[in-house]
Amino acid sequence: MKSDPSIRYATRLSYLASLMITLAGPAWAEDPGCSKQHNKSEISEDNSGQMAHVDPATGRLIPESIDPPGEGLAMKAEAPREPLVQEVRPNGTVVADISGRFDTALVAEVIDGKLVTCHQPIESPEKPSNAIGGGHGQ
Amino acid sequence: MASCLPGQLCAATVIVNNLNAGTGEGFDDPTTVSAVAGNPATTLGAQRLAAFQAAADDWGATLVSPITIIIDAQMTSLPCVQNSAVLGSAGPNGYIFRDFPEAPAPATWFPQALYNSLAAEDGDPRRADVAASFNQDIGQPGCLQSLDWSYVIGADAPPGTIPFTETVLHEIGHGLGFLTFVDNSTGELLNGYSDQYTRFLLDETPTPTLWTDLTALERAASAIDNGELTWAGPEVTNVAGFLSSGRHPSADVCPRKPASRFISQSLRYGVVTK
Repeated sequence: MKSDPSIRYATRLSYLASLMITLAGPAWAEDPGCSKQHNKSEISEDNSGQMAHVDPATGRLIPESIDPPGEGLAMKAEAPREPLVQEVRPNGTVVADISGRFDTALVAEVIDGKLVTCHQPIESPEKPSNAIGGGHGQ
Repeated sequence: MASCLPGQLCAATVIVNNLNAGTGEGFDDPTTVSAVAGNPATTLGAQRLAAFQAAADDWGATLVSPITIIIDAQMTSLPCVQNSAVLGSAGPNGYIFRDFPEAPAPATWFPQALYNSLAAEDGDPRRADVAASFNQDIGQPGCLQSLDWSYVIGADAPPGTIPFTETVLHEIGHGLGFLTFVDNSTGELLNGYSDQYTRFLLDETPTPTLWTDLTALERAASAIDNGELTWAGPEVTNVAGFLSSGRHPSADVCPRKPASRFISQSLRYGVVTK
């Protein structure tokens, strides 16, 4: 039996809204616990990501002030980015090759029985030769 | 890639380019497994790929684009230790574009999939629009070994597992353009230009100011100003009414406030431990 289209639409809208809200922050932006606490005037290199602490027993959010996930991992140290080379196409469109420059890694860590997730900068993994066009930078 | 409205023709085709094909690893892993909820595949690789495709299909059913969206996808070994791991990564691939005739805003970068949708042409037919990699070692000894991926589709992931489809769904979003191109360490705009996502980032204090109106140093500081950085895109704001918390008093969404993170993460990740 097919479901009511309006219900399907509402469900999808809610689904999309949830996802957009999840994504509606800088992929690298700071979160409490995702890295150390900062005040507004601080600027740090370890200012990555989205995170969540969920108590596995209750499913409830746990206020956190813990170390960021992934500290034991060999993550990329983020350096200021070099400007991209731009190219102007005949219709005036300006293009630039980003070559995998904006990959963000979702890092997870179990801390005191809680799973914490957070975005961190990472070197893009090598891509096999069957990538469309041969992978980044082709 | 506007989201669908009632009665609107609404779809995009999303093709997953399996970079593991023929390797016997990742999405090509021949290990026999039992079917799981919503996913009848009986090899590990096929089950993984079906779960990935489910996420891609969900985006396809939600987006509008006349140009096929191609995702280069692989499962491979990513950094991990006993209690911590990179689950996966994704990002836009190929070119970014600005100042094209159909652009809704001038002097603003658009990632490839979004450009393709707006311009109704493939801006880079040679390359995929999104690149995504996920960790094939999760659950193995020495790699976040207390957890494992769950490849269920359309069902709750069992306790002790991380839902793969939901994780992919989230990461693909970044590849489609849900990310800022602003420099993490300096707050500088990319080549001096904003991007379509950053246009809607808003610092609420001391007075609401769009990121595009802040200096680089102010943006860098705003990025770590918990609870006061919101995303004020009108479509998100309009559909965020169901949130009982996690919204700024201005009604804009506070994506990094615990309540909204909890809601969104619980919906998207349903994180649990063994």
